[in-house]
Amino acid sequence: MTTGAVFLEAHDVTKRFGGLTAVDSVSFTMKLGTIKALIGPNGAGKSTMLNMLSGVYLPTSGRISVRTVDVTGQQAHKFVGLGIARTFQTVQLFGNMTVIENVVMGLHTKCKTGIIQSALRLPSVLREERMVFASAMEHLERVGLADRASELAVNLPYGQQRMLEIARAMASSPEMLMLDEPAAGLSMKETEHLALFVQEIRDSGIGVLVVDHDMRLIMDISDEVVVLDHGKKIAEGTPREVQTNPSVITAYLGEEAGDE
Amino acid sequence: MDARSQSPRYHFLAFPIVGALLAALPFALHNNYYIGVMVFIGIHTILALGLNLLMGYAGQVSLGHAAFYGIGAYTTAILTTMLKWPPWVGLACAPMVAGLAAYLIGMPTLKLKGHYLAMATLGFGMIVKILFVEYYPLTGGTSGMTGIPPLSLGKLQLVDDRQFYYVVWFFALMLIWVSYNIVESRVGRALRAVHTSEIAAASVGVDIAKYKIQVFVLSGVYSGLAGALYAHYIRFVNPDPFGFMFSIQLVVMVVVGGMASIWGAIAGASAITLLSQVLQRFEDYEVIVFGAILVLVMIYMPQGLTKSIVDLTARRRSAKPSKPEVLP
Repeated sequence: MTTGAVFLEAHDVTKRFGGLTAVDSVSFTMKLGTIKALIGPNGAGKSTMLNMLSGVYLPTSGRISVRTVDVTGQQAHKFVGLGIARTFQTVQLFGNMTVIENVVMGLHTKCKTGIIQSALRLPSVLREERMVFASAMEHLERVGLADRASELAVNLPYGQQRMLEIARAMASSPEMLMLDEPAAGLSMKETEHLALFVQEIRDSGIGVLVVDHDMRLIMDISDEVVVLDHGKKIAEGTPREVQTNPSVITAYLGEEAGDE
Repeated sequence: MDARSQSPRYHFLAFPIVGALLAALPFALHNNYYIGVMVFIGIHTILALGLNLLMGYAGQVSLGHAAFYGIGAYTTAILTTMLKWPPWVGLACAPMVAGLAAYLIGMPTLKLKGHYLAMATLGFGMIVKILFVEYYPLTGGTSGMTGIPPLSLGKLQLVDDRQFYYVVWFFALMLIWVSYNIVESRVGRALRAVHTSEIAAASVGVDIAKYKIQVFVLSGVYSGLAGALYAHYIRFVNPDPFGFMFSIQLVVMVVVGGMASIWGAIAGASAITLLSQVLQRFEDYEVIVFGAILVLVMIYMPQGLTKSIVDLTARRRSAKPSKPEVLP
């Protein structure tokens, strides 16, 4: 992994739902070892963008490429293999599984055991199981959830569920991590903890794309910010540049009455 | 709420216990009628196991599973009577043919979201039953096929109910073991994941359609084997047992035994098989009783018979919390 190398590119990506244009020809690039934030008022198309970049939605037009290879139209489950992992706006854990099993799910593509091998419980299966559970434990230790490994995921408090979801995503050893509102519903302390962890991930050479409403978090940790409004990209730059951009201020606060 | 109240260790402990009980049972039952009922419970356990993997783990309903059962029975019947193939070969081919049929039905329907499989299997089950009746040269029509040879071990022909009892339960326990292995593996976790959140399962790279089709084929294979065992036990097949009514009975077995519960398959199969013995004299009203059971279980014991009883006993002992352990 080379920090700063372009990993993912969106070229004029558009998504229409019937008559509504949720995302309107947006282009940007994601670099490794960089935290990029995607911000904008409610309904700006941030989540839709994220869903297209992770294969959940098919863009109406435009192209998405990963390491210059066109991946537009690939099925969602193939994106992990491309090195893209993500979390969701509403936590999507496997509630009926234990905490550690959730992280083991993140290692799904790293394993090979198929239905026949598992049916016969071959020694290779048991070896692989030991390997993935050990590896999952390490990921849990990183987010401080190791002591809750055998609890059911639904029984975790909300903040820990968020962290578990990130741990699951990180288990697939991605090159790019997409976080959809990771700080939503977190306490101040939990948000600080999250910020540190995300920066740690960035420093390990992974590209992070964050969508969030917590402006302080975004401005603190981001290297680059993309601002969407009504599906259009209205600004891109460093947090400082974006904060002083007049069209961004207008999008968030509305026009000043005196201007009319 | 603890969705997985038992650790794998308890499951593996259960094998020798259940195995020993089943091995001893024929010595306690002097009436051959009861042995015959136990043979059917074994066959139905295999069917319920397969359907339970599909319903409880892949979250898909099949309303035509009796068709795969019938395909298994007719496959071995045709191979062993018309082509004179050895019974064990017929028994081995039956699950493959049933699995192939499941693949052909599942392939187009399981790629779609929602309960298309239920509708497709409903139609499929009816078509297969009509084929059994109408394709006279191969199936003997409504009068069926006779002269199916018994299974044999060396020179010993397994014609006695007690002998066949051990054959059936050998397969049933083996498949319980296999099902349990699958459920507690990467594949089983992927299936449970799909059941909870398809979008999250896809985000970690689970190929949802692939797993659904695999489980469906597997449940077809189980049913095919059950059908072949039936054919070599009764040594006569006709279309009657493979209709829509029996498909529904299988669904009831799974629900009563408990969805996503491997051992529950035995409980569900036993309860419904015994009940249908009792209800036989009511003939057509049997349907109403099964419908009522389905509704009552769904309302009062949505977890099924086994889970409800286990939970009840667990609640009594829940005074001391169990020490958490990391698996495996």
